[in-house]
Amino acid sequence: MTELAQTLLNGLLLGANYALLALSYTLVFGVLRLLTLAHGQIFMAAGLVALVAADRQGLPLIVTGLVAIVVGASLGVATDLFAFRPVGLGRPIAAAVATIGFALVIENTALQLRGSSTAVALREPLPAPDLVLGPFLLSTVQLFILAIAAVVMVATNAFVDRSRWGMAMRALAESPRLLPLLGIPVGRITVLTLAISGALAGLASFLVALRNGSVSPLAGTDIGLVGLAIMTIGGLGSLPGAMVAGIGLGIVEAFASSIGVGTFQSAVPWLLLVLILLVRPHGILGKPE
Amino acid sequence: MIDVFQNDAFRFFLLFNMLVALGMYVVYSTGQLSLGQAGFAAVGAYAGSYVDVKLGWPLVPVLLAAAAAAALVAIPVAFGANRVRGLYLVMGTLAVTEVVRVSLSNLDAVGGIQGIHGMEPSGVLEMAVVLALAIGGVAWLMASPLGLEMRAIFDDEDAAAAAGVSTRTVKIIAVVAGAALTGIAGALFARYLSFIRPDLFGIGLSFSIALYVLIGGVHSLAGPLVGAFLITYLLEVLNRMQQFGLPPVLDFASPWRFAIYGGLVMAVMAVRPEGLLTRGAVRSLLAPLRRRVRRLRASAHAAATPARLWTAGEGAALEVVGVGHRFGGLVALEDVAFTIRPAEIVALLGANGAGKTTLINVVAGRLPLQRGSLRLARTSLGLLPAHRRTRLGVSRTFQSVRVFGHLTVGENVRLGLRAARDRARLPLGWLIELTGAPPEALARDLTLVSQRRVEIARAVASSPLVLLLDEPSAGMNERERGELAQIIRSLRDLGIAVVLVDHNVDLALGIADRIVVLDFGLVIAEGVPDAIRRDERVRAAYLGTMGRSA
Repeated sequence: MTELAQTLLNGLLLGANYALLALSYTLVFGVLRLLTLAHGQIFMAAGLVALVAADRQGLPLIVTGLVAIVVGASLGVATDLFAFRPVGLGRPIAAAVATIGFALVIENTALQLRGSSTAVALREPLPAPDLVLGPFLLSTVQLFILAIAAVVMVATNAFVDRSRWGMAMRALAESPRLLPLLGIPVGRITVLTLAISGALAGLASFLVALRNGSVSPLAGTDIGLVGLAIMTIGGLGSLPGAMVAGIGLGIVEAFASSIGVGTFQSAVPWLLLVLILLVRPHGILGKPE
Repeated sequence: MIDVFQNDAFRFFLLFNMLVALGMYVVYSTGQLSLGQAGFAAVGAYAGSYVDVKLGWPLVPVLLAAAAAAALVAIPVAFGANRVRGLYLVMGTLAVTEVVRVSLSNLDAVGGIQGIHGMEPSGVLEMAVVLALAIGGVAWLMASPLGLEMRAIFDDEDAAAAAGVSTRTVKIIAVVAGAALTGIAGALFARYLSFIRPDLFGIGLSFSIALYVLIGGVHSLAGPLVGAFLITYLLEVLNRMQQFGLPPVLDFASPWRFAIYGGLVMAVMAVRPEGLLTRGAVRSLLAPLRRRVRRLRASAHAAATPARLWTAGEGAALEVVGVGHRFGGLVALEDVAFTIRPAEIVALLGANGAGKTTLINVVAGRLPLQRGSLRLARTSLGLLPAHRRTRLGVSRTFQSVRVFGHLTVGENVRLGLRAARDRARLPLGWLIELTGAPPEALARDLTLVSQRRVEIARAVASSPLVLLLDEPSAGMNERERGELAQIIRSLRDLGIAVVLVDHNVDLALGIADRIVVLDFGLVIAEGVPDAIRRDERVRAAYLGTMGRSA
C-alpha cells in the first residue's frame, strides 16, 4: 500500500513538472498557432544559469528560483524577437524551423561555456522526507513543488480565461488579422505570451532541479521533446489538456519505472502518444481544426 | 588551403545526407512532414546488416532487403499518418523514430545496444551510384502523373480530392516509397561504418534530415539536394577552420559550429521561409532551356474546338432526392429535391444560410450524405468519397478559390484531365485557353480572378457530367462576369449539366435554363427565370434584393 502511494506521489511530482512544461508549449501554440522547438533548451538554460549563479553568489533557494524564471522569460521573449517575428505569423513551418535554429544557438552556447559533461549541482543538499500525510511520506521540498505547480497552473488558466490580456491572447488565437484593426497591439501580446511561456519553462526547470539536485547542458532536447509529446497528447492548444496529459504521463512513467520496463522507459511518452493519437486524432482534449 | 572533398568520410556523408534528404522529399511532397525518417533508416540499416552478416547476402540483395524492411515498417505508419494532420502527424512520426530506436536496443537478435558488427564494407562509389539512380528515379516520379498528384496534395488536400485524387492512397505510397529509399541509405551507412548501433539513429538524425529539406526548399527536386549539400559542407568547413591557418579566435569546431549553424537556420527562414530554392527560382534558372522545349511543344498545345461530350437525352444527369443535412442542432438542408439534365444550367438561388454551399458539399462528397439519395445518371453516389465522385463525373469549384499554387496552370489542368478516366477528353490546348492564363505560370502568381478560371478549367478537364460552380463570379467586374457567362454557356453546349450557385442574381437569371430557389433548407420555388422573377413567395423570401440589383 505505502509502495503504491509512494509511486503515485513520485508520479504526481514528475507530472506536475511535466504539466508546467507542457503548459508553456501550449500557451504559445494556443495563442500564436506556432510551434516553438526551443523550449527544451530554454528550460535547460534557465536551470543552468540559476544553479551557476546560486553556486557562485551563494543565493538562497527562492532567489535561485526567481533567476530561473527571469532567464526563462527573457529567452522566451528572445524566441519571439529573433525566431518568430523575422518569419511572420502566417508561416508556421518556417517559424518552427527558425526555433530549431534558436535551440541550436542556446544549447551549443551552453555547451561551449560549460562543456558537455558538467552537470551543475544544487549547493544545498536535498532534505530527506520528513512529513507524513496519510499513506504519503514526503519532504517539505516535494510539498513545495506540488503546491507551487498547482498554484501556477491555476493562475495561468485564470489569467488566460479571465484577464483582459488573456482575452486579447484568445482573440489573437481566433483571428490574428482582426486584432490590429481593433487597436490591440499584437506585438505586445506575442511578447507577453512568450514571456509567460518562458517563465513557466524556467520555473519547471527550477522545480526539476530541486527534485534531481542538478542540471546538465545536454538535458534540453529530451525534456523539450517530452514536453511537446505531452502537449500533443493533451490536444494542441488546450491548457487543461496539457495539465491532464502532463500529470497523467508522470503517473504512467512512475508506475512503468516501478514495475521495471528497463530501457523502454524512455519510449513511454512516445508509445502513449501513438496510442492516444490512434484513438483520438486530436489528442485528449483537443478540438478538430 | 585544404580541400574537404579529399576526406573519404566527408564525401560519403555528403552523399548519404543527400540520399536521405531525397527520401524525405518524397514523403514531404505530399505535405506529410515526417520526423520518422531516422527510424526508417535504422530499420533499413539493421535489415541490411542482418542479411549481410548472418546470411552472407551480396550488396544488391542487401539493399533490396533494406528497402523492403523499411517499406514494411512504413506501411502501418503510413496508415496511422493518414488519420492525423499537421503537428499531430509530426509528433506521431517522431514517436516512430524513438520507438524504433528503443525497440532495437532491446532486441537481442540484432545485438541490443551493441548492435551489429562486421558487415562487408562498401564506400563512396556504391553510394554515388545509388544516389545517381535515386535522383533519376525520384525525378521521374515527380514528373509523372503520380508526382503531380503528390504535389497537389501538398498545396491543398481537399481540393486534390475534389480534383479526383485518391489522397489516402497517394499519401500512403509516398510514405512507403520515401521509407524504402531511406532504408537503402541506412544500409549503405551501416556498410560504410561496418558496424551499427541503435543510438546512431536518434531523433537528432530525423531533425537533421528535415532541416536539409526545409532549408533547401521542398518545391523542386534540387532543393533538398542543395540543402543537404550546403549544410553538410558548411559544418565540415567550420569544423576545420583551424586547418586554414586562421587565428584561434576562429576555431569553430563543435560546439560553436552548431551555434553558428543555428543562427544561419534562423536567418534563412527569415529571408526565404520556403527554403533556399523555391520553384520560381529553379524555373528562372532553367528558363532558357524551357523556352526551347516550349517551342517544340507549341504544336501540341494548339487549341482545337472540342467535340460535344454528352447529348441532351431524356435521362437526368443528376437526381437529388430528399436530401437533408444537419450540423449538430442546426438544420442546413431540410428536404431538397431537384434534377438536372445534360446540357442544362440550373442556378441555385437563396439568401445566405439557405443551404446552397451545403448542398454542393453533400453532392460533391465533401460532407457525408445524412438523408436522401443522390444519383448521377443511373449510378447511386451513396457514400462514395469525393475523389471517386469526381472520377465518376461530378466536378466542383470552391467558394473560396482553391487552386494548387505551386503547380503551373498547365499542371492544374492536367491534374483535372486525369480524373476524366475513360470518358471523352477535352483537348489540353482548349482547356488552357479556358484559363486565359499562360500555361507555364505558377497558379499562386495569378490574380484571384485568373485563379478562379484556372479552377474552373481544372474542374471541366475531368469531362464531368455535372459541374458544380460555387460562387464563380465573386470578385469579378462586369467584363469578367460577361466572359464567365460565355464560358458557362460554352460548357453547357458541350453537354455538361452546370449547377450554378452565385450571389449575382443577374448572372444567374441571365444564363440559367432553370432556377431552384432554396430557403432555410427547403426548395420554395422552381422554374424558368421569368417565372421565378414573378413568383410571389420567392419575392417575399429572397428576391426583394433582386428588384434592386436587376
